Amino acid sequence: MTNPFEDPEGTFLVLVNDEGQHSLWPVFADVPAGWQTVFGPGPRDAALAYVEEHWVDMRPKSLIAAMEAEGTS
Amino acid sequence: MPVTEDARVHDLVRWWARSAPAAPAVSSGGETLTYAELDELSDRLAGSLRARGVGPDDRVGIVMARSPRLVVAMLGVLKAGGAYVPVDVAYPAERRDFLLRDSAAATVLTDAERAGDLAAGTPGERDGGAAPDVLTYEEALAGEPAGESGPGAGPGNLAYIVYTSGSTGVPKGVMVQHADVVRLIGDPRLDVRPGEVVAQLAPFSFDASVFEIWSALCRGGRVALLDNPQQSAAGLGEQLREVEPDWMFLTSGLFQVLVDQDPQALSHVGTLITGGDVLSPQAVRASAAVTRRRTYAAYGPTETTVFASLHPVDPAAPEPERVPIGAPLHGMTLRVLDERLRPVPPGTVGELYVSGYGVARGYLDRPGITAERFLADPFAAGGARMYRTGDLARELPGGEFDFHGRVDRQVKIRGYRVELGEIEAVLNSHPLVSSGAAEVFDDGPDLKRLAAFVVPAEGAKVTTGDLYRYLGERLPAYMQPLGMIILADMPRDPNGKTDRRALPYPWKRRADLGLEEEYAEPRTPLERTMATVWTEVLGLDTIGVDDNFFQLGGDSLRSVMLLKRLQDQNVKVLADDLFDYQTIAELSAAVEAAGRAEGGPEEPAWPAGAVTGSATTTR
Repeated sequence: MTNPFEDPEGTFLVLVNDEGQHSLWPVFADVPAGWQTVFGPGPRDAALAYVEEHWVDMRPKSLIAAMEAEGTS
Repeated sequence: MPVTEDARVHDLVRWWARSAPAAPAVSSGGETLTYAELDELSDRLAGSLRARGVGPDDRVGIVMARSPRLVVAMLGVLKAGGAYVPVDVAYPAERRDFLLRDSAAATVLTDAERAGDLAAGTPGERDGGAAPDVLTYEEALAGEPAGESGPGAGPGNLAYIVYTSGSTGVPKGVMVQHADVVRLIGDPRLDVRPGEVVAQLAPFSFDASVFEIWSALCRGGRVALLDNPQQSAAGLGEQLREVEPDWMFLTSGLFQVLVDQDPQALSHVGTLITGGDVLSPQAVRASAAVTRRRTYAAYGPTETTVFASLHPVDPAAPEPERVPIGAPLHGMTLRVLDERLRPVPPGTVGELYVSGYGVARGYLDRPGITAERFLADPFAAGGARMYRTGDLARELPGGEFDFHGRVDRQVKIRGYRVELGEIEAVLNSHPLVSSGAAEVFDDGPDLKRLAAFVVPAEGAKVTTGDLYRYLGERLPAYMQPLGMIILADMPRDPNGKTDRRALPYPWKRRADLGLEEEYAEPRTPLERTMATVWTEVLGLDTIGVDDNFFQLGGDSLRSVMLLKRLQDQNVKVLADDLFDYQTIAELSAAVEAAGRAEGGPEEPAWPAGAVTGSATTTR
């Protein structure tokens, strides 16, 4: 059984939620509620390259806001 | 203090320090720290860390030997607002440096005797970056107590980073948040009561220690550090009789040994939790019949915070073919999906996904790999995530699940997660190696062994001794192969990939193992007895008296079998002898020197001084 996320020939999206968290996503499946497409459809390598380039701060956005309010970010 | 969702781990510990200051919090042999002492020491430590600029989400490496001080250090890091990165002192320097560098720890806490070693070659400096601030425990205690003032971590900030094996050959740091730990501890099945004793046995660099330490300290219990460096059943049974823990986690490998050799020791345990690899139905049943309260089979990736599911073993129920991994913890959901991400019908094997409480933030500084494993959850609203475990499972009637192996090449050896690709990456990095492969051979429950296969570079002469040393400098002990075969050619499949099924079983003929030593015949009656028992246990055709046990396929479980058979032959060997004397010649000499072959005086199986206080051995 091949996992759909491991398929090197697959076509993928990159999804982002309100917390700025990124998820690889196979194009054949519906986009889950609360997620936006920010890349694709495209090949797996390109999707991962997109994530590497754009998901720089991996803290959830609500945490970043809370830490800025506390002056600890 | 009720375990509430917005609490931080140290808030819960502090609450117990206020309400039960004299209660024991951490013990080790004869040494005990009360909650008040733990609170005060960790406050000082936190003050020093704060003064050095440690704050929320900052990583602090901890390179310290097992002792109550290590628990103080962890709590101090949390109180300062930071996240601890436990680094096993037994790791080779290269791996230790990698973990400190990768976690970008700006501060490292260590024992006084290790400070020089760390300062001499701090990982940051070697990369031309900033050197971490190396602080000894004693120096850190000189700080002004941090108290509760100043900006601290929130429930969404990191509590710790634990490293797991990575398929790319690089370990990944799992980022776990305070809320994840607090929710784990809040599970109704893990309800440690004030005053109860939780045994602490797991290496601090593995996340089972998170359960052991924080489920006790956040609930008014006592963490009892056990000392069992060789993970032997004899040493463990001894301590269980003395400590009488109300809670204990055991990896499946050690659990099996204990059930085989000293099942009555488990009658001194209240609730036993075991997991990490496939469990034998007979063993868990035997345990459930004697534990004071119950036995749980547990399942859980590090990425979802220690445990994801628990199965209470019913000793009276009919024995299942395989031990279930149980039902999810409070607030967690397990789903079995097919290759189109659709739920499979109950009873069908598919890949297991975990969502809800405990799903970690991701892998530190690895957004790509995080986005492959921590996924959009199609079954939840509001942008929730689910973790893809890589494990195969099946839903059983009644809402429990059972486990059906790994999807990829990650294997479990004695409870440790090992990515074969990681070992291969190191083998292939050796300048004289053209091609390396690592494979696991399974000789029965808990008898899995790792072997390495190497094709030398064209014209190069490389010895197995060189390769063992090379791996030993780069990988922890549980990732070391127990056999090394030099091949002329790597077997390949039609796609040019290593054909793993064509790799030979390594432990049949001594001559195949590529040992550096010439075969040396046994010379004395004792050596001959030893040679016979060694060849039986290791399954080899012949063994020379200078051959190293651990390069003949010997591992800790086989060492236990070997010791037992030698004892049956009236050869008095001690539990730790094989780690000190790894050849037949050395072991025989040690036995003879101690006059033990003919029933000499009994000696403690426990190294003197390993346990302080009254833990002397009387067998």
